[in-house]
Amino acid sequence: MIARFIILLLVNIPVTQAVLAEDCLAHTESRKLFSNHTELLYETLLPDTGRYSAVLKNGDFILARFATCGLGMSVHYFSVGDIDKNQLKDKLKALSNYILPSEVVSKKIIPQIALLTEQKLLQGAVVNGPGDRYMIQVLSSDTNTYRLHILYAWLPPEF
Amino acid sequence: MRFSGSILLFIVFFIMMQLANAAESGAASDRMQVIAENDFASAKLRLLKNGDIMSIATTGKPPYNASYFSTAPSDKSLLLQHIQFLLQSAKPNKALAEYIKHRLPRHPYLKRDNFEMRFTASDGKKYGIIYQSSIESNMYIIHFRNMNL
Repeated sequence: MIARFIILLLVNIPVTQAVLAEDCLAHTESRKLFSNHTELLYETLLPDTGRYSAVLKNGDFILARFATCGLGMSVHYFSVGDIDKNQLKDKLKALSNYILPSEVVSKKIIPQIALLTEQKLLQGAVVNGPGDRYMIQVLSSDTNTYRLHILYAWLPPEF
Repeated sequence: MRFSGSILLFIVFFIMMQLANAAESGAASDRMQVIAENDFASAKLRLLKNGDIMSIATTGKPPYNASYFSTAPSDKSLLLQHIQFLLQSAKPNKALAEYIKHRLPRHPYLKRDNFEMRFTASDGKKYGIIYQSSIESNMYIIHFRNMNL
């Protein structure tokens, strides 16, 4: 009886995992985002877990997560020190060029960023891409070293 | 005879579980291996093999304020490992090292998604650990604060 139970247990574990993996009809292709950045110190991409990390020469860093089951991408930019209010939008526009998947998308998104108010950015502003949307939010970070945290999330069409 | 066979199988199963656990914790420390380290004006940044990032302040006195950033959620045991790894990097004194090794693992807050924990080590020094989870945006942050600075 116990032996049968153990055998069932041992046999079942891999089977369940295989079934779960097949349930994911789509996954998001993970990619390196800041390879072309002139200030890039190093970056690492782990396609199995959809995790991407990059560190810039001034100490700023980026952590991104691509959905391994379903569609999704969230990019977090942590900035050393404060960014001047007047420079914030330039920073967001520059980030868009690295984060967005193509020039077509960038050309659609960047003009919308110019129109966003600071209030909207603090609450989380949604901008429209071609058929999908992106959410951009400026958060304050709790560390003394990292004062600003920018969230850039892809909202795929299914949402 | 049948009974002793079951016992034997159970013992074999038990040993296999122990081995699996050992392999898992070995894999965890491997994932938390530091693959790059850089010093900036006020902080040291460490990139780990699992993609997580640690920031350790280098101003003030040790134990230094430090933060652990991850895009993956942790269960209680993994969260504990991350906190212990973070605090080891913050240059803890003996009393703090003892707290994180022996008393922290029993703290009920470790099961929560968000918490603000304050504790006093055996030498009377006060510290804080903050854990913030954002499931929607995949961001999980641990902050360690030395309240004596």
